[in-house]
Amino acid sequence: MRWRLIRARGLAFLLVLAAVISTASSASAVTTVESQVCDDFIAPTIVAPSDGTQTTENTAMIEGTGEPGKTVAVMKGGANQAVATVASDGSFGFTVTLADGDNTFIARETNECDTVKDSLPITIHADLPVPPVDEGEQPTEESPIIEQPGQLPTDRPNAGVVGRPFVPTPATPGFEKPKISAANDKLTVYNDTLLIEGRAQPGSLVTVYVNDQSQAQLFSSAKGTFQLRIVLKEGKNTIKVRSTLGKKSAVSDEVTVTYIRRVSATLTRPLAASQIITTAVTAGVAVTGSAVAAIGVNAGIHKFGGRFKFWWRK
Amino acid sequence: MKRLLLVGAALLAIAFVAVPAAYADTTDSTVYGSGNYGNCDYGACTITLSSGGATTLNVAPTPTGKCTVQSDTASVLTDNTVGYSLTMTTSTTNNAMTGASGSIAAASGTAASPVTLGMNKWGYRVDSLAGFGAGPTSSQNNGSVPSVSFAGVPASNQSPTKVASTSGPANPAATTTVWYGLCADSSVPSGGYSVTVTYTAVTN
Repeated sequence: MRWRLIRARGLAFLLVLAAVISTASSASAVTTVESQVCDDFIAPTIVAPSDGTQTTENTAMIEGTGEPGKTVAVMKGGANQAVATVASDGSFGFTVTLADGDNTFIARETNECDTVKDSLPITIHADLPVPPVDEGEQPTEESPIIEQPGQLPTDRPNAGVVGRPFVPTPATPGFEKPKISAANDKLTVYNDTLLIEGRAQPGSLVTVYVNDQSQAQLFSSAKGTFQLRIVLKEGKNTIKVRSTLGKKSAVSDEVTVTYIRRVSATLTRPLAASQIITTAVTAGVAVTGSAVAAIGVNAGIHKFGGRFKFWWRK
Repeated sequence: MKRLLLVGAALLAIAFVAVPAAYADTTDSTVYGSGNYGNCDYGACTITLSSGGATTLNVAPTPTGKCTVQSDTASVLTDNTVGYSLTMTTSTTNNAMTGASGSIAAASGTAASPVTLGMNKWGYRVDSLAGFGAGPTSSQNNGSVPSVSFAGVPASNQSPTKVASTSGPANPAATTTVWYGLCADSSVPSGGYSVTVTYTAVTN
């Protein structure tokens, strides 16, 4: 209980007795405890070129394997050189530019839990003529592309860009329009990975869109070429690239590639042991027991009633 | 008649007012005296509470399991002379972390009797509170099972668990670090899981 003795305006002394029901004050706050549980994944591997490769070219095609569906970045000196989505067969590949001397690359995969896994590094030694290139500068982390004095360096390939929708922008007048050269329009393929090649403004950042969704980013070489492996979805795939250099950009014409998935026969009903008996290719010896799988072997023994018949595939 | 109305108004001044209704000074009156018979100073029986808003326990499980431990901070500010109590429950009657792919159950321990965090469980702990032990707890990502013990956060239809209390004012604000831990093995489907925890601070 609280009390106060007050003098109210216009009144004589007035005792105001304020009886207070002493209910407690309370306050609340909420916090969300959240967790992203991520599957473990295999670290990427660079399978080509091999460590210690020497070249006189100023580009190299990095080929590797990784976790299908994950985004993989190839890095040099801590800076991304290219990013792409690993294909369903676990492959990835794209060209990277080389500087004169040793160029050490790693492939890096990151999952939704920010778990990072790196490949073993590979070093490519490039013996480039002097001056290394005459078409333009190379986009290395030591010498970012400055198109004009005062202009910001070109952005680097960024894994966060993968999966973003294509946003049309007007082409910059006079800026070289990129072109997809290796994949023919209206092409039909039976693999979900496709190696595409193209041309773009030398040193520009090339973003590859498949079905209006970005799938990879890499630099165009000093000669204005790029090459990478993309992942196709079943059916029609529209492919285009955007080339960006500073504030200038241009988009290629679309190329349409249709991917038809091969259907392979699958044994859905296990054969009984009395129907097919498999064996290592050891003619004349009947294997008894419960072996049931016959797919993939080149020889076997069929049992017809009480007799065995040996067969082999030529 | 006017005098009668004034007398009536004076009698009505004996009012019953719930805390923290303020007895604000006005220019119309002069205070000749005041006192405190209870827990709050005049006009001071308020309490405020804030928390971090989100705690993330990402984990990339392996067959044998991985654990992540992170903390949240609850801050209470009150001038109440006899302090406050801070409790918490989950916001629903289900104290499991739920997601599209499944759920992760709360740890079985209590504040009085916490347990080592088991696989596919989540829990909380407050260093030096009740049976938790001194710790100190440290944050970790995708580590081994923590050596410190954890308890399950009670569901909203259970008795709230006390995580902090004082017997005096908390001004400046008193902070309580609440640690959350989660362990998961490969049997937990990948995806997002979450649970909302409600802290409640009440003046004593």
